[in-house]
Amino acid sequence: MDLLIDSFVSAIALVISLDKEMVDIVGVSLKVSVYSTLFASLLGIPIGFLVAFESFRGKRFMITCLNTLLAVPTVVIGLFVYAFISRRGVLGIFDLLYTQKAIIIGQTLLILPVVAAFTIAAISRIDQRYRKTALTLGANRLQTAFVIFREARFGIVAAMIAAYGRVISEVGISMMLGGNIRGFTRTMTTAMALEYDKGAFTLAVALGMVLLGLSFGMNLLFHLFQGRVRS
Amino acid sequence: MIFSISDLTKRYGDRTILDIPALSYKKGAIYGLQGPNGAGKTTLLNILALLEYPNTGSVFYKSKPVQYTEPYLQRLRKEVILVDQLPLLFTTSVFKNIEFGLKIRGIEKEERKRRIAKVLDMVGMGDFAQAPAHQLSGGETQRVALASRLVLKPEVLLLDEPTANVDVASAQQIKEASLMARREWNTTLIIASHDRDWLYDVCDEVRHLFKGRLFGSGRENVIFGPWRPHNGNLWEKQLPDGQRLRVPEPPEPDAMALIEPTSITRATDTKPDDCGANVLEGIVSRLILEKTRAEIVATILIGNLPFTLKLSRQKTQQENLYPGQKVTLHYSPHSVKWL
Repeated sequence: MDLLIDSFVSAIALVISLDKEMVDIVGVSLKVSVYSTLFASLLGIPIGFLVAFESFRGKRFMITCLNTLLAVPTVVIGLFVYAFISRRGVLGIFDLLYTQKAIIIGQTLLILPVVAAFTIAAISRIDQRYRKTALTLGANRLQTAFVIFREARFGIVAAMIAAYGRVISEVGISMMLGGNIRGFTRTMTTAMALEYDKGAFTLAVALGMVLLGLSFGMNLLFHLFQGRVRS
Repeated sequence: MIFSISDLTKRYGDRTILDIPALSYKKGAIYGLQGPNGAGKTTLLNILALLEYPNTGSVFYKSKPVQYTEPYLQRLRKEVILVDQLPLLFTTSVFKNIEFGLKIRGIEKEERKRRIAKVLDMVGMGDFAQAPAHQLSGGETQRVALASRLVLKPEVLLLDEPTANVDVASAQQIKEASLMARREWNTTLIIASHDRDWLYDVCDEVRHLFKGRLFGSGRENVIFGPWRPHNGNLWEKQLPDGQRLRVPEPPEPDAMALIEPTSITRATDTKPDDCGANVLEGIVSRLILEKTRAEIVATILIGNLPFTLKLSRQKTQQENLYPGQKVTLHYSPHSVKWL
Protein backbone atom coordinates (compact mmCIF):
# COMPACT_ATOMS: atom_id res chain seq x y z
CA MET A 1 0.00 0.00 0.00
CA ASP A 2 2.91 2.32 0.86
CA LEU A 3 4.35 1.69 -2.58
CA LEU A 4 1.16 2.84 -4.21
CA ILE A 5 0.77 5.91 -2.00
CA ASP A 6 4.46 6.91 -2.41
CA SER A 7 4.21 6.43 -6.18
CA PHE A 8 1.02 8.43 -6.24
CA VAL A 9 2.51 11.36 -4.30
CA SER A 10 5.65 11.37 -6.48
CA ALA A 11 3.50 11.12 -9.58
CA ILE A 12 1.48 14.17 -8.60
CA ALA A 13 4.75 16.09 -8.12
CA LEU A 14 5.88 14.89 -11.56
CA VAL A 15 2.66 16.03 -13.20
CA ILE A 16 2.76 19.42 -11.48
CA SER A 17 6.40 19.98 -12.42
CA LEU A 18 5.58 19.11 -16.05
CA ASP A 19 8.53 16.72 -16.26
CA LYS A 20 10.03 16.97 -19.76
CA GLU A 21 10.17 13.23 -20.40
CA MET A 22 6.57 12.87 -19.32
CA VAL A 23 5.46 15.82 -21.45
CA ASP A 24 7.27 14.35 -24.50
CA ILE A 25 5.59 10.99 -24.00
CA VAL A 26 2.17 12.60 -23.60
CA GLY A 27 2.84 14.67 -26.74
CA VAL A 28 3.65 11.56 -28.82
CA SER A 29 0.57 9.77 -27.49
CA LEU A 30 -1.71 12.69 -28.23
CA LYS A 31 -0.25 13.20 -31.71
CA VAL A 32 -0.64 9.60 -32.89
CA SER A 33 -4.06 9.21 -31.24
CA VAL A 34 -5.43 12.42 -32.72
CA TYR A 35 -4.14 11.56 -36.20
CA SER A 36 -5.44 7.99 -36.09
CA THR A 37 -8.84 9.16 -34.78
CA LEU A 38 -8.96 11.78 -37.52
CA PHE A 39 -8.09 9.36 -40.32
CA ALA A 40 -10.41 6.66 -38.97
CA SER A 41 -13.22 9.24 -38.74
CA LEU A 42 -12.63 10.49 -42.28
CA LEU A 43 -13.00 6.92 -43.52
CA GLY A 44 -15.29 5.36 -40.91
CA ILE A 45 -18.02 8.02 -40.70
CA PRO A 46 -18.81 7.96 -44.45
CA ILE A 47 -18.66 4.15 -44.47
CA GLY A 48 -20.96 3.93 -41.44
CA PHE A 49 -23.28 6.56 -42.86
CA LEU A 50 -23.59 4.86 -46.24
CA VAL A 51 -24.17 1.44 -44.68
CA ALA A 52 -26.89 2.83 -42.39
CA PHE A 53 -28.50 5.19 -44.91
CA GLU A 54 -28.57 3.04 -48.04
CA SER A 55 -30.34 -0.24 -48.65
CA PHE A 56 -28.27 -2.90 -50.41
CA ARG A 57 -27.72 -6.62 -50.51
CA GLY A 58 -25.40 -7.89 -47.80
CA LYS A 59 -25.99 -4.90 -45.51
CA ARG A 60 -26.63 -7.06 -42.45
CA PHE A 61 -23.60 -9.21 -43.24
CA MET A 62 -21.46 -6.08 -43.49
CA ILE A 63 -22.71 -4.83 -40.13
CA THR A 64 -21.98 -8.24 -38.57
CA CYS A 65 -18.43 -8.11 -39.99
CA LEU A 66 -17.89 -4.60 -38.62
CA ASN A 67 -19.18 -5.66 -35.20
CA THR A 68 -16.84 -8.66 -35.25
CA LEU A 69 -13.90 -6.41 -36.05
CA LEU A 70 -14.63 -4.40 -32.89
CA ALA A 71 -13.16 -7.27 -30.90
CA VAL A 72 -9.93 -7.70 -32.89
CA PRO A 73 -6.96 -7.71 -30.48
CA THR A 74 -4.40 -4.97 -31.00
CA VAL A 75 -1.61 -7.51 -31.41
CA VAL A 76 -3.41 -9.04 -34.41
CA ILE A 77 -3.54 -5.62 -36.07
CA GLY A 78 0.09 -5.13 -35.06
CA LEU A 79 1.10 -8.40 -36.73
CA PHE A 80 -0.99 -7.68 -39.81
CA VAL A 81 0.49 -4.21 -40.35
CA TYR A 82 3.97 -5.49 -39.49
CA ALA A 83 3.67 -8.00 -42.34
CA PHE A 84 3.12 -5.12 -44.74
CA ILE A 85 5.60 -2.51 -43.50
CA SER A 86 8.53 -4.63 -42.36
CA ARG A 87 11.51 -4.63 -44.73
CA ARG A 88 10.28 -7.86 -46.36
CA GLY A 89 6.73 -6.55 -46.64
CA VAL A 90 4.99 -5.02 -49.66
CA LEU A 91 5.37 -1.53 -48.18
CA GLY A 92 8.86 -2.18 -46.81
CA ILE A 93 10.45 0.36 -49.16
CA PHE A 94 8.73 3.19 -47.30
CA ASP A 95 10.69 2.36 -44.16
CA LEU A 96 7.70 2.86 -41.89
CA LEU A 97 8.40 0.32 -39.18
CA TYR A 98 9.13 1.82 -35.74
CA THR A 99 7.85 5.24 -36.72
CA GLN A 100 4.89 7.26 -35.52
CA LYS A 101 3.35 6.77 -38.97
CA ALA A 102 3.35 3.01 -38.40
CA ILE A 103 1.49 3.47 -35.12
CA ILE A 104 -1.01 5.78 -36.81
CA ILE A 105 -1.64 3.22 -39.60
CA GLY A 106 -2.16 0.40 -37.08
CA GLN A 107 -4.37 2.45 -34.80
CA THR A 108 -6.43 3.75 -37.73
CA LEU A 109 -7.14 0.16 -38.77
CA LEU A 110 -7.96 -0.72 -35.16
CA ILE A 111 -10.60 1.97 -34.72
CA LEU A 112 -12.01 2.15 -38.23
CA PRO A 113 -14.63 -0.51 -37.35
CA VAL A 114 -15.34 1.31 -34.06
CA VAL A 115 -16.12 4.58 -35.83
CA ALA A 116 -18.11 2.84 -38.60
CA ALA A 117 -20.13 0.59 -36.27
CA PHE A 118 -20.93 3.40 -33.83
CA THR A 119 -21.88 5.68 -36.72
CA ILE A 120 -24.23 2.99 -38.05
CA ALA A 121 -25.79 2.72 -34.59
CA ALA A 122 -26.12 6.52 -34.33
CA ILE A 123 -27.74 6.86 -37.77
CA SER A 124 -30.04 3.86 -37.24
CA ARG A 125 -31.38 5.40 -34.05
CA ILE A 126 -32.54 8.51 -35.90
CA ASP A 127 -36.31 8.52 -36.32
CA GLN A 128 -37.36 7.72 -39.90
CA ARG A 129 -39.74 10.67 -39.76
CA TYR A 130 -36.75 13.04 -40.12
CA ARG A 131 -36.09 11.51 -43.52
CA LYS A 132 -39.77 11.74 -44.41
CA THR A 133 -39.91 15.36 -43.25
CA ALA A 134 -36.87 16.35 -45.31
CA LEU A 135 -38.28 14.60 -48.40
CA THR A 136 -41.72 16.17 -48.14
CA LEU A 137 -40.13 19.60 -47.76
CA GLY A 138 -38.49 19.00 -51.13
CA ALA A 139 -35.00 17.85 -50.16
CA ASN A 140 -32.95 15.73 -52.54
CA ARG A 141 -30.99 12.68 -51.37
CA LEU A 142 -27.91 14.67 -50.42
CA GLN A 143 -29.91 17.25 -48.48
CA THR A 144 -31.86 14.46 -46.76
CA ALA A 145 -28.59 12.73 -45.87
CA PHE A 146 -27.33 15.99 -44.41
CA VAL A 147 -30.45 16.28 -42.24
CA ILE A 148 -29.96 12.74 -40.92
CA PHE A 149 -26.27 13.43 -40.33
CA ARG A 150 -27.06 16.60 -38.41
CA GLU A 151 -29.60 14.83 -36.23
CA ALA A 152 -27.08 12.05 -35.52
CA ARG A 153 -24.21 14.46 -34.76
CA PHE A 154 -23.98 13.66 -31.04
CA GLY A 155 -23.88 9.93 -31.73
CA ILE A 156 -21.18 10.45 -34.35
CA VAL A 157 -19.06 12.60 -32.01
CA ALA A 158 -19.56 9.91 -29.37
CA ALA A 159 -18.25 7.36 -31.92
CA MET A 160 -15.13 9.49 -32.40
CA ILE A 161 -14.62 9.82 -28.65
CA ALA A 162 -15.00 6.06 -28.16
CA ALA A 163 -12.47 5.51 -30.93
CA TYR A 164 -10.07 8.03 -29.41
CA GLY A 165 -10.42 6.32 -26.04
CA ARG A 166 -9.55 3.01 -27.65
CA VAL A 167 -6.34 4.25 -29.30
CA ILE A 168 -4.99 6.40 -26.51
CA SER A 169 -5.18 3.44 -24.15
CA GLU A 170 -3.94 0.68 -26.48
CA VAL A 171 -0.47 -0.76 -26.04
CA GLY A 172 -0.08 -3.66 -28.52
CA ILE A 173 0.12 -1.67 -31.76
CA SER A 174 2.27 1.10 -30.29
CA MET A 175 4.72 -1.47 -28.96
CA MET A 176 4.86 -3.73 -32.03
CA LEU A 177 4.86 -1.06 -34.73
CA GLY A 178 6.41 1.85 -32.81
CA GLY A 179 9.04 -0.04 -30.90
CA ASN A 180 8.79 2.17 -27.79
CA ILE A 181 11.74 4.37 -28.87
CA ARG A 182 12.36 7.09 -26.28
CA GLY A 183 11.45 10.57 -27.43
CA PHE A 184 10.21 9.24 -30.75
CA THR A 185 7.64 6.47 -30.57
CA ARG A 186 7.26 6.08 -26.82
CA THR A 187 3.62 6.57 -25.93
CA MET A 188 1.99 6.77 -22.51
CA THR A 189 0.97 3.13 -22.52
CA THR A 190 4.27 1.73 -23.80
CA ALA A 191 6.14 3.91 -21.30
CA MET A 192 3.92 2.63 -18.49
CA ALA A 193 4.60 -0.97 -19.52
CA LEU A 194 8.34 -0.25 -19.57
CA GLU A 195 8.31 1.50 -16.19
CA TYR A 196 6.40 -1.45 -14.74
CA ASP A 197 9.06 -3.83 -16.11
CA LYS A 198 11.72 -1.67 -14.46
CA GLY A 199 9.83 -1.64 -11.19
CA ALA A 200 9.72 2.19 -11.28
CA PHE A 201 6.14 3.14 -10.67
CA THR A 202 6.34 6.93 -10.34
CA LEU A 203 6.33 7.80 -14.06
CA ALA A 204 3.87 4.97 -14.77
CA VAL A 205 1.38 6.29 -12.20
CA ALA A 206 1.89 9.87 -13.39
CA LEU A 207 1.19 8.84 -16.98
CA GLY A 208 -1.82 6.87 -15.81
CA MET A 209 -3.17 9.99 -14.13
CA VAL A 210 -2.59 12.08 -17.25
CA LEU A 211 -4.26 9.39 -19.37
CA LEU A 212 -7.35 9.39 -17.17
CA GLY A 213 -7.32 13.18 -17.06
CA LEU A 214 -7.23 13.39 -20.85
CA SER A 215 -10.14 10.96 -21.19
CA PHE A 216 -12.11 12.85 -18.58
CA GLY A 217 -11.38 16.19 -20.27
CA MET A 218 -12.48 14.83 -23.64
CA ASN A 219 -15.78 13.54 -22.27
CA LEU A 220 -16.35 16.76 -20.35
CA LEU A 221 -15.90 18.78 -23.54
CA PHE A 222 -18.36 16.52 -25.34
CA HIS A 223 -20.98 16.91 -22.63
CA LEU A 224 -20.53 20.67 -22.56
CA PHE A 225 -20.93 20.79 -26.34
CA GLN A 226 -24.01 18.56 -26.19
CA GLY A 227 -25.56 20.62 -23.40
CA ARG A 228 -24.89 23.93 -25.14
CA VAL A 229 -26.44 22.74 -28.40
CA ARG A 230 -29.47 21.19 -26.71
CA SER A 231 -30.21 24.32 -24.71
CA MET B 1 -57.98 17.78 -61.77
CA ILE B 2 -54.90 18.27 -59.65
CA PHE B 3 -54.73 14.61 -58.62
CA SER B 4 -56.38 11.50 -59.93
CA ILE B 5 -55.86 7.85 -59.20
CA SER B 6 -56.85 4.83 -61.22
CA ASP B 7 -56.84 1.15 -60.26
CA LEU B 8 -54.46 1.77 -57.40
CA THR B 9 -53.44 -0.97 -54.99
CA LYS B 10 -50.89 -0.88 -52.21
CA ARG B 11 -49.75 -3.99 -50.37
CA TYR B 12 -47.48 -4.58 -47.42
CA GLY B 13 -46.45 -8.21 -47.81
CA ASP B 14 -49.63 -10.22 -48.39
CA ARG B 15 -51.87 -7.56 -46.88
CA THR B 16 -53.69 -5.21 -49.23
CA ILE B 17 -53.70 -1.77 -47.60
CA LEU B 18 -55.37 0.16 -50.41
CA ASP B 19 -57.57 -0.83 -53.30
CA ILE B 20 -58.94 2.25 -55.04
CA PRO B 21 -60.37 1.90 -58.56
CA ALA B 22 -60.76 5.65 -59.10
CA LEU B 23 -60.34 8.86 -57.15
CA SER B 24 -59.87 12.47 -58.19
CA TYR B 25 -59.25 15.82 -56.56
CA LYS B 26 -59.98 19.22 -58.05
CA LYS B 27 -57.59 22.15 -57.79
CA GLY B 28 -58.34 24.51 -54.91
CA ALA B 29 -60.96 22.33 -53.22
CA ILE B 30 -60.94 20.96 -49.69
CA TYR B 31 -61.32 17.21 -49.28
CA GLY B 32 -61.85 15.20 -46.13
CA LEU B 33 -60.78 11.65 -45.56
CA GLN B 34 -62.48 9.69 -42.85
CA GLY B 35 -62.10 6.19 -41.56
CA PRO B 36 -61.08 4.17 -38.54
CA ASN B 37 -57.44 3.62 -37.56
CA GLY B 38 -55.77 1.19 -39.95
CA ALA B 39 -58.19 2.02 -42.79
CA GLY B 40 -55.30 3.15 -45.01
CA LYS B 41 -55.66 6.93 -44.67
CA THR B 42 -51.98 7.55 -43.89
CA THR B 43 -50.85 5.23 -46.69
CA LEU B 44 -53.09 7.06 -49.17
CA LEU B 45 -51.71 10.42 -48.01
CA ASN B 46 -48.15 9.09 -48.29
CA ILE B 47 -48.84 7.97 -51.85
CA LEU B 48 -50.36 11.34 -52.71
CA ALA B 49 -47.35 13.02 -51.05
CA LEU B 50 -45.14 10.93 -53.36
CA LEU B 51 -43.36 9.39 -50.41
CA GLU B 52 -44.63 5.89 -51.16
CA TYR B 53 -45.40 4.26 -54.46
CA PRO B 54 -48.40 2.09 -55.34
CA ASN B 55 -47.92 -1.57 -56.23
CA THR B 56 -50.29 -1.31 -59.16
CA GLY B 57 -52.29 1.44 -60.83
CA SER B 58 -51.46 5.01 -61.69
CA VAL B 59 -51.37 8.35 -59.98
CA PHE B 60 -51.84 11.44 -62.15
CA TYR B 61 -50.70 14.88 -61.03
CA LYS B 62 -52.01 17.77 -63.12
CA SER B 63 -53.20 15.13 -65.60
CA LYS B 64 -49.72 13.73 -66.14
CA PRO B 65 -48.81 10.25 -64.84
CA VAL B 66 -46.40 10.35 -61.91
CA GLN B 67 -43.06 8.78 -62.80
CA TYR B 68 -41.46 7.07 -59.84
CA THR B 69 -37.95 8.31 -60.47
CA GLU B 70 -36.20 10.32 -57.79
CA PRO B 71 -35.57 13.57 -59.75
CA TYR B 72 -39.19 13.64 -60.98
CA LEU B 73 -40.58 12.96 -57.50
CA GLN B 74 -38.33 15.65 -56.00
CA ARG B 75 -39.75 18.19 -58.41
CA LEU B 76 -43.35 17.28 -57.56
CA ARG B 77 -42.65 17.18 -53.83
CA LYS B 78 -41.87 20.88 -54.03
CA GLU B 79 -45.57 21.40 -54.80
CA VAL B 80 -47.25 18.59 -52.83
CA ILE B 81 -46.44 18.65 -49.14
CA LEU B 82 -47.51 16.49 -46.21
CA VAL B 83 -47.91 17.32 -42.53
CA ASP B 84 -47.47 14.12 -40.55
CA GLN B 85 -49.79 13.06 -37.76
CA LEU B 86 -46.91 13.27 -35.28
CA PRO B 87 -44.50 15.63 -37.00
CA LEU B 88 -40.87 15.92 -35.99
CA LEU B 89 -38.94 19.15 -36.01
CA PHE B 90 -35.20 19.28 -36.63
CA THR B 91 -33.17 19.89 -33.49
CA THR B 92 -32.51 23.52 -34.20
CA SER B 93 -34.49 26.75 -33.85
CA VAL B 94 -38.09 27.22 -35.00
CA PHE B 95 -36.83 29.77 -37.55
CA LYS B 96 -34.32 27.35 -39.10
CA ASN B 97 -36.93 24.60 -39.24
CA ILE B 98 -39.22 26.79 -41.30
CA GLU B 99 -36.31 28.11 -43.34
CA PHE B 100 -35.25 24.61 -44.47
CA GLY B 101 -37.75 24.24 -47.33
CA LEU B 102 -37.23 27.85 -48.45
CA LYS B 103 -33.47 27.37 -48.67
CA ILE B 104 -33.96 24.24 -50.76
CA ARG B 105 -36.07 26.29 -53.14
CA GLY B 106 -33.35 28.94 -53.38
CA ILE B 107 -35.44 31.76 -51.87
CA GLU B 108 -33.34 34.81 -50.97
CA LYS B 109 -32.56 35.64 -47.36
CA GLU B 110 -34.73 38.77 -47.00
CA GLU B 111 -37.68 37.07 -48.65
CA ARG B 112 -37.17 34.05 -46.37
CA LYS B 113 -37.28 36.29 -43.28
CA ARG B 114 -40.41 38.06 -44.47
CA ARG B 115 -42.26 34.85 -45.29
CA ILE B 116 -41.24 33.15 -42.05
CA ALA B 117 -42.48 36.10 -39.97
CA LYS B 118 -45.80 36.04 -41.81
CA VAL B 119 -46.36 32.32 -41.51
CA LEU B 120 -45.42 32.27 -37.81
CA ASP B 121 -48.11 34.88 -37.25
CA MET B 122 -50.57 32.74 -39.21
CA VAL B 123 -50.10 29.85 -36.76
CA GLY B 124 -49.92 32.10 -33.69
CA MET B 125 -46.22 31.47 -33.04
CA GLY B 126 -44.87 34.93 -33.82
CA ASP B 127 -42.77 35.12 -30.65
CA PHE B 128 -41.17 31.70 -31.07
CA ALA B 129 -38.85 32.25 -34.05
CA GLN B 130 -35.63 31.74 -32.08
CA ALA B 131 -37.01 29.13 -29.66
CA PRO B 132 -35.36 25.68 -29.75
CA ALA B 133 -37.83 23.51 -31.68
CA HIS B 134 -37.33 20.44 -29.47
CA GLN B 135 -38.55 22.33 -26.40
CA LEU B 136 -42.00 23.07 -27.84
CA SER B 137 -45.20 21.40 -26.67
CA GLY B 138 -47.10 18.96 -28.89
CA GLY B 139 -49.52 21.62 -30.12
CA GLU B 140 -46.74 24.13 -30.79
CA THR B 141 -44.73 21.48 -32.65
CA GLN B 142 -47.74 20.72 -34.85
CA ARG B 143 -48.21 24.44 -35.56
CA VAL B 144 -44.53 24.97 -36.46
CA ALA B 145 -44.66 21.88 -38.67
CA LEU B 146 -47.68 23.34 -40.45
CA ALA B 147 -45.93 26.72 -40.73
CA SER B 148 -42.87 25.08 -42.32
CA ARG B 149 -45.20 23.73 -45.04
CA LEU B 150 -47.41 26.78 -45.47
CA VAL B 151 -44.37 29.01 -45.98
CA LEU B 152 -43.70 27.03 -49.17
CA LYS B 153 -47.12 28.00 -50.60
CA PRO B 154 -47.90 24.42 -51.64
CA GLU B 155 -50.21 23.51 -54.51
CA VAL B 156 -51.50 20.59 -52.46
CA LEU B 157 -51.31 20.35 -48.69
CA LEU B 158 -51.96 16.94 -47.16
CA LEU B 159 -52.84 16.96 -43.48
CA ASP B 160 -52.76 13.68 -41.57
CA GLU B 161 -54.83 14.00 -38.40
CA PRO B 162 -53.63 17.58 -37.86
CA THR B 163 -55.66 18.14 -34.70
CA ALA B 164 -55.60 14.66 -33.18
CA ASN B 165 -52.89 15.25 -30.61
CA VAL B 166 -53.15 18.94 -29.84
CA ASP B 167 -54.97 21.20 -27.39
CA VAL B 168 -58.10 23.11 -28.36
CA ALA B 169 -56.29 26.42 -28.95
CA SER B 170 -53.67 24.81 -31.22
CA ALA B 171 -56.38 22.92 -33.08
CA GLN B 172 -58.17 26.18 -33.77
CA GLN B 173 -54.98 27.85 -35.04
CA ILE B 174 -54.22 24.86 -37.26
CA LYS B 175 -57.71 24.86 -38.73
CA GLU B 176 -57.64 28.59 -39.44
CA ALA B 177 -54.12 28.53 -40.92
CA SER B 178 -54.99 25.60 -43.20
CA LEU B 179 -58.03 27.40 -44.56
CA MET B 180 -56.02 30.57 -45.03
CA ALA B 181 -53.71 28.62 -47.38
CA ARG B 182 -56.71 27.84 -49.56
CA ARG B 183 -57.89 31.43 -49.50
CA GLU B 184 -54.48 33.00 -50.17
CA TRP B 185 -52.85 30.55 -52.60
CA ASN B 186 -55.75 28.41 -53.76
CA THR B 187 -54.03 25.42 -52.16
CA THR B 188 -55.87 22.11 -52.48
CA LEU B 189 -56.32 20.66 -49.00
CA ILE B 190 -56.71 16.96 -48.34
CA ILE B 191 -57.39 16.36 -44.67
CA ALA B 192 -57.53 13.01 -42.88
CA SER B 193 -59.25 13.49 -39.57
CA HIS B 194 -61.56 11.91 -37.02
CA ASP B 195 -63.05 15.35 -36.40
CA ARG B 196 -66.23 14.74 -38.41
CA ASP B 197 -67.82 18.06 -37.58
CA TRP B 198 -64.81 20.01 -38.80
CA LEU B 199 -64.57 17.97 -42.00
CA TYR B 200 -68.25 18.35 -42.83
CA ASP B 201 -68.05 22.02 -41.99
CA VAL B 202 -65.10 22.95 -44.24
CA CYS B 203 -64.76 20.23 -46.87
CA ASP B 204 -66.22 20.40 -50.33
CA GLU B 205 -66.31 16.62 -50.26
CA VAL B 206 -65.65 13.96 -47.65
CA ARG B 207 -64.62 10.42 -48.56
CA HIS B 208 -64.82 7.45 -46.26
CA LEU B 209 -61.98 4.94 -46.34
CA PHE B 210 -62.55 1.56 -44.84
CA LYS B 211 -60.21 -1.43 -45.03
CA GLY B 212 -58.40 0.27 -47.89
CA ARG B 213 -61.54 0.88 -49.96
CA LEU B 214 -63.33 4.13 -50.56
CA PHE B 215 -67.04 4.35 -50.15
CA GLY B 216 -69.69 6.96 -49.62
CA SER B 217 -69.47 10.35 -48.07
CA GLY B 218 -68.55 9.26 -44.57
CA ARG B 219 -72.01 9.99 -43.18
CA GLU B 220 -72.90 6.29 -43.39
CA ASN B 221 -73.67 4.40 -40.21
CA VAL B 222 -71.08 1.69 -39.72
CA ILE B 223 -72.03 -0.91 -37.14
CA PHE B 224 -69.46 -3.36 -35.90
CA GLY B 225 -70.25 -7.01 -35.12
CA PRO B 226 -70.34 -9.56 -33.66
CA TRP B 227 -73.76 -10.69 -34.89
CA ARG B 228 -75.76 -13.63 -33.53
CA PRO B 229 -78.42 -15.64 -35.35
CA HIS B 230 -81.95 -14.59 -34.38
CA ASN B 231 -84.47 -16.54 -36.42
CA GLY B 232 -84.95 -17.35 -40.07
CA ASN B 233 -82.57 -15.23 -42.08
CA LEU B 234 -82.34 -12.52 -39.45
CA TRP B 235 -79.29 -11.95 -37.25
CA GLU B 236 -79.03 -9.51 -34.38
CA LYS B 237 -76.74 -7.46 -32.16
CA GLN B 238 -77.82 -6.55 -28.66
CA LEU B 239 -77.17 -2.92 -27.75
CA PRO B 240 -76.11 -1.88 -24.20
CA ASP B 241 -79.65 -0.70 -23.40
CA GLY B 242 -81.15 -4.10 -24.32
CA GLN B 243 -82.56 -3.11 -27.71
CA ARG B 244 -81.74 -5.41 -30.61
CA LEU B 245 -80.48 -4.39 -33.97
CA ARG B 246 -81.66 -6.86 -36.61
CA VAL B 247 -79.95 -7.39 -39.92
CA PRO B 248 -79.97 -9.94 -42.74
CA GLU B 249 -77.49 -12.82 -42.52
CA PRO B 250 -73.95 -11.37 -42.48
CA PRO B 251 -71.13 -12.87 -44.57
CA GLU B 252 -69.31 -13.58 -41.30
CA PRO B 253 -70.29 -13.06 -37.64
CA ASP B 254 -67.81 -10.18 -37.21
CA ALA B 255 -68.76 -8.39 -40.43
CA MET B 256 -69.46 -4.67 -40.35
CA ALA B 257 -72.86 -3.41 -41.40
CA LEU B 258 -73.42 -0.19 -43.26
CA ILE B 259 -76.71 1.69 -43.28
CA GLU B 260 -77.13 4.79 -45.41
CA PRO B 261 -78.49 7.84 -43.52
CA THR B 262 -81.21 8.09 -46.16
CA SER B 263 -82.39 4.55 -45.30
CA ILE B 264 -83.26 5.55 -41.75
CA THR B 265 -86.52 7.31 -41.07
CA ARG B 266 -88.55 8.31 -38.05
CA ALA B 267 -90.98 5.55 -37.15
CA THR B 268 -93.94 7.90 -37.37
CA ASP B 269 -93.34 8.02 -41.11
CA THR B 270 -93.19 4.30 -41.68
CA LYS B 271 -95.19 1.38 -40.41
CA PRO B 272 -92.86 -0.95 -38.48
CA ASP B 273 -92.80 -4.57 -39.56
CA ASP B 274 -94.92 -6.98 -37.57
CA CYS B 275 -92.28 -8.23 -35.19
CA GLY B 276 -90.91 -4.72 -34.64
CA ALA B 277 -87.51 -6.04 -35.55
CA ASN B 278 -86.10 -2.85 -36.97
CA VAL B 279 -87.71 -0.22 -34.82
CA LEU B 280 -85.38 1.40 -32.32
CA GLU B 281 -85.77 4.08 -29.69
CA GLY B 282 -83.14 6.73 -29.13
CA ILE B 283 -82.40 10.31 -28.12
CA VAL B 284 -81.53 13.17 -30.46
CA SER B 285 -77.98 14.16 -29.50
CA ARG B 286 -77.08 16.65 -32.24
CA LEU B 287 -78.52 18.52 -35.17
CA ILE B 288 -76.01 19.90 -37.67
CA LEU B 289 -76.67 22.06 -40.69
CA GLU B 290 -74.98 20.60 -43.78
CA LYS B 291 -72.44 22.80 -45.56
CA THR B 292 -74.83 23.05 -48.52
CA ARG B 293 -77.44 24.35 -46.02
CA ALA B 294 -80.07 22.20 -47.71
CA GLU B 295 -80.24 19.44 -45.13
CA ILE B 296 -79.95 18.80 -41.43
CA VAL B 297 -77.83 15.89 -40.22
CA ALA B 298 -79.32 14.44 -37.05
CA THR B 299 -77.35 12.18 -34.73
CA ILE B 300 -79.53 9.86 -32.65
CA LEU B 301 -78.01 7.90 -29.79
CA ILE B 302 -79.42 4.40 -29.57
CA GLY B 303 -77.89 2.54 -26.64
CA ASN B 304 -74.77 4.76 -26.92
CA LEU B 305 -74.47 3.91 -30.62
CA PRO B 306 -74.70 7.07 -32.76
CA PHE B 307 -77.00 6.79 -35.78
CA THR B 308 -77.00 9.46 -38.44
CA LEU B 309 -79.94 10.39 -40.60
CA LYS B 310 -80.54 13.25 -42.98
CA LEU B 311 -83.64 15.41 -42.95
CA SER B 312 -84.68 18.42 -44.93
CA ARG B 313 -84.71 21.71 -43.01
CA GLN B 314 -88.44 21.91 -43.54
CA LYS B 315 -89.06 18.45 -42.15
CA THR B 316 -86.87 19.10 -39.13
CA GLN B 317 -88.91 22.19 -38.43
CA GLN B 318 -92.23 20.39 -38.98
CA GLU B 319 -91.31 17.56 -36.64
CA ASN B 320 -89.98 20.01 -34.12
CA LEU B 321 -86.81 18.01 -33.51
CA TYR B 322 -84.51 19.16 -30.75
CA PRO B 323 -81.52 17.64 -28.89
CA GLY B 324 -82.64 15.55 -25.94
CA GLN B 325 -85.90 14.56 -27.62
CA LYS B 326 -86.87 10.86 -27.62
CA VAL B 327 -87.47 9.49 -31.11
CA THR B 328 -88.26 6.15 -32.70
CA LEU B 329 -86.34 5.16 -35.80
CA HIS B 330 -87.06 2.64 -38.47
CA TYR B 331 -84.84 1.11 -41.10
CA SER B 332 -85.39 -1.61 -43.60
CA PRO B 333 -83.13 -4.65 -43.10
CA HIS B 334 -82.85 -4.79 -46.88
CA SER B 335 -80.99 -1.49 -46.83
CA VAL B 336 -78.15 -2.99 -44.77
CA LYS B 337 -74.96 -3.48 -46.76
CA TRP B 338 -72.00 -5.53 -45.61
CA LEU B 339 -68.38 -4.42 -45.63
